[in-house]
Amino acid sequence: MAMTEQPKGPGLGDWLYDRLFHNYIWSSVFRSGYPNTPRNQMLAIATNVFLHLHPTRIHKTHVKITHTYCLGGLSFFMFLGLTVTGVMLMFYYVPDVNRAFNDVQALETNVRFGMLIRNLHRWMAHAMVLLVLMHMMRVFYTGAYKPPREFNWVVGVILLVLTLLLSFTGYLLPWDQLALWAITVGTNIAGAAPILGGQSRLVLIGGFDVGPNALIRFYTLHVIALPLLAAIFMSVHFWRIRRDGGLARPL
Amino acid sequence: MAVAAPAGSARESVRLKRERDQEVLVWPDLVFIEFIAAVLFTITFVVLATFFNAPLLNKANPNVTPNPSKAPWYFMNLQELLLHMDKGLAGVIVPTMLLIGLMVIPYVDRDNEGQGTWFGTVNSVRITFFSFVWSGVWISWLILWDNGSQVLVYQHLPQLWGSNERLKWLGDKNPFKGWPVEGVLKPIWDFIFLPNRLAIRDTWHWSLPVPFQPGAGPHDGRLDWPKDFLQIPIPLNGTWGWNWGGKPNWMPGWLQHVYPYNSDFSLPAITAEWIVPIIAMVGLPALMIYILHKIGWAHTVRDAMIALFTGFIVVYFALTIVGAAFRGKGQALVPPYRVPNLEKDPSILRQVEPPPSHLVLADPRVVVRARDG
Ligand code: HEM
Repeated sequence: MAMTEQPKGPGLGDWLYDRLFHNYIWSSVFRSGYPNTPRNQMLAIATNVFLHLHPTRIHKTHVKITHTYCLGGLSFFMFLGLTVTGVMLMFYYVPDVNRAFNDVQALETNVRFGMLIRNLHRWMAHAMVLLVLMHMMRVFYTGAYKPPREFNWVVGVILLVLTLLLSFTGYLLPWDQLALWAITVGTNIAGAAPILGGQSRLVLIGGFDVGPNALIRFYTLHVIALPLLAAIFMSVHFWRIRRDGGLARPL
Repeated sequence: MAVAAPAGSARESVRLKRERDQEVLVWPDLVFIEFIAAVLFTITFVVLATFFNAPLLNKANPNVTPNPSKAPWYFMNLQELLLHMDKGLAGVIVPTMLLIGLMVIPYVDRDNEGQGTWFGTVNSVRITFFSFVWSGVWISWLILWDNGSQVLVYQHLPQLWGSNERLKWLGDKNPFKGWPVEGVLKPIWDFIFLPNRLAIRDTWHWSLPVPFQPGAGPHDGRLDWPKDFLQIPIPLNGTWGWNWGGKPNWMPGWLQHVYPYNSDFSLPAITAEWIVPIIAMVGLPALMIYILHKIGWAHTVRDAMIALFTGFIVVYFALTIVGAAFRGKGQALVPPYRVPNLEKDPSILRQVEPPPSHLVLADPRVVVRARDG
């Protein structure tokens, strides 16, 4: 589309851009000019650390919505949204069995938009699990794991596990009946392992029952260890997409 | 994007040029799509979060167990699996094998054919459909069978024509009464009409005359299922060869954990908890691939992978749905409207109390009264 068209003459955008941004401060932040020529459009991607996750050009079948349904991107978007809302929740939440439940309750009744933030965090977490599963299905049914993308599929499976663990550890934090018993059921599953089961459950919840130790362990895993790991593996995931020559397409 | 192949020959550079023509710029084409997707999702979730509140029940109380207690939805499939086999098998071995299985897919299926397009190989759509139906039917049947549903349905058949009579389950009948080999035929008949999986362990019964049992000393002359199979010694547990004389205390603790110094097998339990489920989990997918191969749909590893992966997805979601919507009190299989809604269960429903005073934020515009203390 835009690439094959010849650059047009100066339009409203250029005029506005000139007025607003043609100054020393703006150009110290954004090196490239207004992205209305192929050159500037490529520079806009290549000189921006966030957009630089992308290549500057991409095969045209891959911008078709029906190729990826944006599922990987949306999983990532959920991760970002969860990070933002999660940080906000952390302002109000203390992982102590005497406080946690009250904190969540106070968040709902006492904090402006507290309920909204909690709801957002909750629903986005559920959505992320679903989106990651759907992303895996799309990758599978488009045969996008084939060489040279084998390893990125493996990284993906690790990300799936991390997503599930993130969601699972977060489930305990409201410290209500739903949380306590879901985690009890869940960790009992881990405890059923033939030889190391009892031990691994002990390590996971720091005791024989889901109690204060479990809460602090799950909290730490949920807010720092697992997100960090997920971020690392996502970086590898995105890096590998570029290294493997972009998205898969027929040879 | 374009793979950086050295543009050595003229043909090569023509190829590269053609590839260039196929490309669009990420700004604007991709960035805008991403932007719009992000905006749409933001709006959707803000709306969702405005109208639907995240659940919050009563404060956690280890003394009040909700019935049923359920794992988060994405683990309800595992919880459902636990009802159908040994806990270690369902909770750890199967998920571990599945993850490993997922990870090795690309190392097993390495042919590039059909890559990068939806259902890119010849028969992939029909194979997916076949596997969808096959897995869906089998998983439903297995869950119903393990629940003994077929017995219930059979017993209540007369109600269809308005009679209140109950049929006797086929497994309780004995069409071979008085036959010469009744002792063999009846157990086979019983096996075919087992009411459920655990009946193999608990109610299935047979007894064969055995004049000699090796190494058994005095015996009653018969081999009985399950009675004679409950304690099968395993090698090294002290009954074979040498005897530890109780707990081998000279072993380090962890070795005592691992080493079967005092355990033996209960074959009936192992059959019901391990062998039958494993046969179902390995045998049915294998049979599916065999059939797909025989009818000429599946030729390549990719075809087999499509069948297996589809089966995995179907079973994953089927078990999740059954666990979430069809498991009531005590994990009994019930229709969805009989599954208790925990958010309405008075024993765990949240009693809204004002928060303690130190948690009330000092914002005079918010009217929430603190409880003292
Ligand atoms: C937190 C989880 C994940 C995130 C944020 C993520 C993100 C992404 C993104 C943004 C892409 C670009 C194309 C697209 O949007 O489809 C992608 C591609 C890919 N993903 Fe993921 N992904 C995740 C999990 C997974 C999982 C679970 C798998 C598989 C088991 C996987 C395997 C792949 C592969 C093989 C590609 C390359 C696809 C191609 O070449 O067409 N990813 N991922």
